[in-house]
Amino acid sequence: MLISRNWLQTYFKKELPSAQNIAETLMMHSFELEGIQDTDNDQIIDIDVLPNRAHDCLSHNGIAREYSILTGYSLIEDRNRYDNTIECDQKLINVTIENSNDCHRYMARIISGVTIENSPTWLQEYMKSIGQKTINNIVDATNYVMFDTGNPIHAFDADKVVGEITIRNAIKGETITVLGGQQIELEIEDVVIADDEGILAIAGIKGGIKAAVTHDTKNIIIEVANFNPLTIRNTSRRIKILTDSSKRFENQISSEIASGAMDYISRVINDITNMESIGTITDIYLKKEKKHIITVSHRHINRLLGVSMDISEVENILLRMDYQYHRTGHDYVISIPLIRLDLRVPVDIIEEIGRIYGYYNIPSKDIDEFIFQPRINQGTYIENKLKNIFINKGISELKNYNFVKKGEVQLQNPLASNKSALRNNLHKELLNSLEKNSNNFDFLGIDRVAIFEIGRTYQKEGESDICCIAILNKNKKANKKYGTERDQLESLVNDIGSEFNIDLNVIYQENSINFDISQCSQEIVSYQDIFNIDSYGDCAQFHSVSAFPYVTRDISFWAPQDVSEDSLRLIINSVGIKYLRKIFTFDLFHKEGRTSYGFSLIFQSDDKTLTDQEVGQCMSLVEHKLSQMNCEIR
Amino acid sequence: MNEKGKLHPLSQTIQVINRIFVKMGFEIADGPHIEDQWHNFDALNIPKNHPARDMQDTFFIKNDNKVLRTHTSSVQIRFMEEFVKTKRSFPFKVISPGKVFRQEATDKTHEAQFYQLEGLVVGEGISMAHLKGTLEKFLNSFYGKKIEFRFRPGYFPFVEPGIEIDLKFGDTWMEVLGAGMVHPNVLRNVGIDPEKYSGFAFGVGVDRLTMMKYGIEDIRLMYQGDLKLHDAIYIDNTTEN
Repeated sequence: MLISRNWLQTYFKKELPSAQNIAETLMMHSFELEGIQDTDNDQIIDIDVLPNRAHDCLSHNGIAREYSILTGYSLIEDRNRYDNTIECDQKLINVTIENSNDCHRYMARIISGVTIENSPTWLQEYMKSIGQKTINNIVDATNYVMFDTGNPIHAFDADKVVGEITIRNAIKGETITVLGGQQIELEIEDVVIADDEGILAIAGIKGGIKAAVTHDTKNIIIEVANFNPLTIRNTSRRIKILTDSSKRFENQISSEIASGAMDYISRVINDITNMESIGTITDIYLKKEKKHIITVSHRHINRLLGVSMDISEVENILLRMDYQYHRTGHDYVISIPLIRLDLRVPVDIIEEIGRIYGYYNIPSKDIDEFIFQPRINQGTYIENKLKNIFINKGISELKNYNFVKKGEVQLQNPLASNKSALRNNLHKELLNSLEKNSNNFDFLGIDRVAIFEIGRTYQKEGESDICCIAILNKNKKANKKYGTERDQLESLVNDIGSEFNIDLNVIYQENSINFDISQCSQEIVSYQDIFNIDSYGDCAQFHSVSAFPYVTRDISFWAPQDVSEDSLRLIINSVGIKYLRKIFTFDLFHKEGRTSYGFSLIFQSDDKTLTDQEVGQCMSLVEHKLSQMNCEIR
Repeated sequence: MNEKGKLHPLSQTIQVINRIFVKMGFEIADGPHIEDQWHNFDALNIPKNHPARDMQDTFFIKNDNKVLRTHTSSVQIRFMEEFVKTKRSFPFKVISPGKVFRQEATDKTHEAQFYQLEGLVVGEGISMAHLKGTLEKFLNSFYGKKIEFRFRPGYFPFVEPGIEIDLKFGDTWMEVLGAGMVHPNVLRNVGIDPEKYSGFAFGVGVDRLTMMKYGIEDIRLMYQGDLKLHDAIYIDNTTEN
């Protein structure tokens, strides 16, 4: 939510510090911070109010109260009070709530003789500062007071309302054309504001065009209400209309803030229009906010936070929070303010105390004194044991997606049609990976692709942990070196079988095997040596992976014997060829005081396909540099 | 005779984390990916129709009332239920690394599948100071040096107080872990008396930790089944071989 520093300042006499400073305080004690933006004459703080405080802090008022508690800056009293300089007349709006479960409170009043025009500059600036459109003085005022107090407000054109106002459930099939022109078909669960003729608004979500405020509106009805959060949430989700109003209602606001909001909207409209008269407030408040008392013990606070606050420290915090409380012995008996709907159990209070105290002030304690006899998890052990075996045999681990096009278990809401099911095998994707990686023998500098994945597959009857291994030799030379793919897989099956002392049941698919790892079991006493693989080293860093093709060029040359291979590599690298990725040695022998080298150079760009000419230029640079080092290109 | 193969970088991170926590006396737990709503939501104090459920976009299984787990907190619920059922004695310390799923559009920093690791310690007198001490030990071992970190308020329905933890790298604070004291409703839901026992929980995204450690910028590279990922992670200033 966007908070304007200038707007926030109107809550305080004392000059507030910079937005950075305000944001830091709020972040360390209350909310998450998204960012700060400087505008011409203001600073805007973007605060992420999380669900537990969305009921009381999605407003400048909420943030101001919170900031006041944290810093001791006192709030200006009566900031929002409407002082009735214009006397109320007797005009009263008749309101009926048919269903008090869905409408907790409904306040309405008529304001007569307003002129619809542009908002004054201050109001336009505030609305703009928090990214809101300005429409006209009345609509802007209702929005302003919502962002100020947290209570959504609606204005109707009083002359277009026929008869009484009723808050009722919609009749199945009833429709409304909302502001903006969209026609919505309603269900019986939806709650609407209606007059004797039809629907004026979808309660708490959006107004209809029937009684919309337009440029020739003269008299308005102001609505300040509170609705059932679940009803608002369900309707708003179903009709896919999310508004600043519905967002606040679905997070449940306290009905107690309505009267303050009614006062303030009256005052603002009085200030910005030449209204003629203002009617008496109708206030139907059927579902009163209940008083809650929470008793929390001093010991509980210290025990859970791991601190040793004394009573005066705790009381000091409770006073800052403006709670009504008394202490009996070591218990604090606290009356929860009616606007705080999130405080219901002792741990809620402990959280309040903890964050005001500052979590950063909590000391560190060791848990070694808590003695526990951990058990070994077979699945984890076996999986990692297998990984050790494979890594030692030169087989690398890959991971593929669990989402596939077809499978036994399907998703109700997939991200795409080719990801609509969960995989029921690993080998299909791993064989694809085998092929994909076999295009990169030269790039990777390998003569076989040997890969495995251990992962979950999903069947109608449940989940299985499967191990899949796939191997592809580069050429006959590799066949000689490693044995054929089939030989290698068969020997692996033997090795795994003898490691776990079982006859391993595997399925061969092309160049792969897969098996259910639940076959493997072992008497295990500890994880000793099982998590000790170190494939990358501590200081390893990622270098880009290019999506563009690579080019291999070989170079053979004679070098003087006193020039080492490492220094040759460094020299070639230092030529500063921007496309050179890798150097592999494919040949090396000594003869008559000289050394013959065969290097494969791999060229690749991060952002384009290299041309022959570009690679050729790189090669001539390398050749030039090598000649300078008294090497003889062959 | 062969060169060694390479672990996937995510498995490498999980191995390192496992090693650290096993040394600290933790047990390792796992559970199903397809979860009932009790273990993934209700038991974790995330009621139906509550805005807190919107915090995580969930995949639902077709023709079933189940979901793909959105966090490994579901494993912790299963662990605690089993712990109580089998009458093991408190305290306990457990971590649950595993794959989780979120129904959200993918980009450089978001994937529909990723790994999470959660930790949970419950016993008599476990406090937030113990949470701090445990994470301090973990972070210092994981990074091999003293890491500056800070606790600030956060919100997760299954803990209270809820905490976010930022780590300092250079001059920048990065949000890395979520944590808090296990909510009494959660303990009650699995049959543990919250008057007697308390606990802390923490969670960290393994992909994010791995990306930060190596400087990987695109999470999607992790799941392409492509060895170029492994190949691109190496120590600088050495020649290739």
